[in-house]
Amino acid sequence: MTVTTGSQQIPIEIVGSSTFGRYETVSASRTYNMFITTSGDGKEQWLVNFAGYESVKLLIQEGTSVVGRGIFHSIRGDFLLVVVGTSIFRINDITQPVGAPIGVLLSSVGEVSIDENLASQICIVDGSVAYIYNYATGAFGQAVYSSDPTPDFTPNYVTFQNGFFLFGNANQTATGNTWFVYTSGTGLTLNFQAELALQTKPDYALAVIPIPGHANSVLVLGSSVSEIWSQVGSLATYQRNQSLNIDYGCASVSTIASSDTFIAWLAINEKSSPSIMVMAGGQAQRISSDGIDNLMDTIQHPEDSTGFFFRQDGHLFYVLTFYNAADNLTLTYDFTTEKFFDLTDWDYSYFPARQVAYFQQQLYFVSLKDTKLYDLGTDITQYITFPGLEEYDIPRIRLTDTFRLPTPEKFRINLFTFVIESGTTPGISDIVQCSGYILNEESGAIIYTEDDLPLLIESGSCGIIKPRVDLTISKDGGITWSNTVPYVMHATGKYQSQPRFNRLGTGNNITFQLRFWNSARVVVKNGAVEVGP
Amino acid sequence: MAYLTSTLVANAYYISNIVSREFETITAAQASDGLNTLNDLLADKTANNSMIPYTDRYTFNAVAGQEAYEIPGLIYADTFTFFINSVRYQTRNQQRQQFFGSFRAMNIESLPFNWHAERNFGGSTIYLYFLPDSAFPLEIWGQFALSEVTQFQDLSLTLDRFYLNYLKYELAVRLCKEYGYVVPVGVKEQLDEYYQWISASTNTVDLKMEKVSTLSGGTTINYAIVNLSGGWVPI
Repeated sequence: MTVTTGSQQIPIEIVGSSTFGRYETVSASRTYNMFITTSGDGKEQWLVNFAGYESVKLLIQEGTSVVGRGIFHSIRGDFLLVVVGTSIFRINDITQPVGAPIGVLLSSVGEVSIDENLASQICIVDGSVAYIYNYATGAFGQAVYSSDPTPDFTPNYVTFQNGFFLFGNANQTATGNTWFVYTSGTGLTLNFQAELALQTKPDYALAVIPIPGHANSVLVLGSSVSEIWSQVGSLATYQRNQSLNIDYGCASVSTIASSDTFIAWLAINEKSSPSIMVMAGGQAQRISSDGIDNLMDTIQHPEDSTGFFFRQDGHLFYVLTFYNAADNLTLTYDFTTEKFFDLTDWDYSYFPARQVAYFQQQLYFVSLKDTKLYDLGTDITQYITFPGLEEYDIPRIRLTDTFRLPTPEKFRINLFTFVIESGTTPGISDIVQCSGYILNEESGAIIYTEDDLPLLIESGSCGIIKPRVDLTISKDGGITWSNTVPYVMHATGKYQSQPRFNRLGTGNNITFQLRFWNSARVVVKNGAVEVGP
Repeated sequence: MAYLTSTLVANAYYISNIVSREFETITAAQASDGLNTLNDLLADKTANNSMIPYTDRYTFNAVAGQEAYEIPGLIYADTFTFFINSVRYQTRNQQRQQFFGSFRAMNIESLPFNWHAERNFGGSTIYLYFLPDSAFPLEIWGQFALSEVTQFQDLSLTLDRFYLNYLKYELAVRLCKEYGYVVPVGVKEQLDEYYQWISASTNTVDLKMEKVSTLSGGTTINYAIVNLSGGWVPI
């Protein structure tokens, strides 16, 4: 890079995360639908595209208002169980058509929790009723409680540990602090094992979840406190840890998720607004910064939220979505790099995934927005859906942090440049994209001329799409933004690429916003800005 | 092609890199500052006329018995002549000491063979001697001040493109000084080139020497000639 006389080069962190300052001026740094990947030796860091998604199954015909509610991979049964609306589908082979629902729930909305035991029973809890699918017999129905047909609890959440189904309780009554332990029975039957109580605070025992990596321990989450209980083999039940509890409960049961050695959830207590809490190794800590907690304060419907873990390319992500229209946002925390990122759908609304399952060497999720089953992975770089094979570019956006001189002096910005991979993906340059096709009425296929050109209606048109990077700048700390200036990427095979944006004017701070429009992968490295007096 | 003042001001901001051409548009305050600074520049040319590219003609009529004539905008008078019956008559420019400080009969009305120009507010005043005795057509060739411009004035109607380019660079430099930024090296170099081009090619002073010999006989105008022949002399 040529250095103008009297100028200095300042590194600009393009390979960065969403840091969520209290205000944009405090920190403008945001990264949408991208994450940081590191070379094996840890010396190189690049910003790359987050996973794209492609619909693989339409489980219920479109046009209904129902959406995906849960997905579960039965390890012992080797199938997927997918809940959409009231229907429960079993998928044995992802390449085969999906059969009729194996069962129907009474409720049609809200997230379900699912787990299986060692007796071929899969328990599905929708927040009010527990259902059992016995895949050995094919039977499905509401759980039958052998010892007490009408127990005094409302199943709120279910997990499995050490031969027990552990139920959180949705009751908001005097006995709402109790949680329940059931062993497997035959058919749809569950056998009562124990009724235990959340004791540290006057609270409700909303959910119970095994602590990953701690074989016999579970975390019992209330609305303002959480307790650690351990199963003592000789007692065949659980005892509360007398010396330890977590002074945060759970704001939304659907945000509870666990993987590796972590449990994450949207935490809250009687004195604190929502924050993101992680428990690891028996200790819980808040991972959200004050900026994120401020964002959490603005959430109007924390109950309309969902959270799940999934591992992709060696990175463990916790995805937290607030899907109410008033909130409409998704955050993800990468436990590998310990950084937050923003996720969106192709239309900038919340990320559509609700729960994820790894099945037949691929990740799948049910959608918060429709009745399809989606394939998720970083080898997919777009949002692809059918019927119609519609492809949408997923917005890949990086807002850098604001650069200022150590003193509040104004400066002149002569050049901004960065490194980006170019020319590696075949077939993405000069893509002709048309609108207003004339379709075959019967098949819906596009009609072409003998010269292989599409026939268009009078108002139809075609354009050539080239991968590009759009740059906008802000000189007020990310509050307002400039015109957009594009940098058109090179054609496939032309690998050398260095976007250079010259003569960016003057100011006493500058923030860069990069939008990567590309149907292929995005791989970008840090940049630099040249500033002078 | 029209070239508005606002375009020149905006371009000056862009080349100075105070405002980014692609990412930003100049604000109303910057446009106003730029226009004022441009008019300052144009006005400053009346103090230093070396970069005024044009020499113009100014004609007016003498008034019998009137010595002083105010010429608006005149910065530098190169020649002064008068006409009688379509014949142009040469005159002599006298410096202040000679014109105002020498022995002279002040009541003679005749042909204005001597003149002197003094700068004053808004232009210059031409002083004539002898006082004109009738309404001769008078003509001045010289340099005149550049007029103030308005924001959306089409400058291409009054100034050549090369001069607009020069003004753009000079305005860029002035804006850098006004806003406290270092002048970009490229802008400074380009402006220096414009200085050389314009001062060397368009604003050339006629340096041809002209001597009046006291020995040439007969052509020198003196008091007797004026009083006896009304200024006319035989060839």
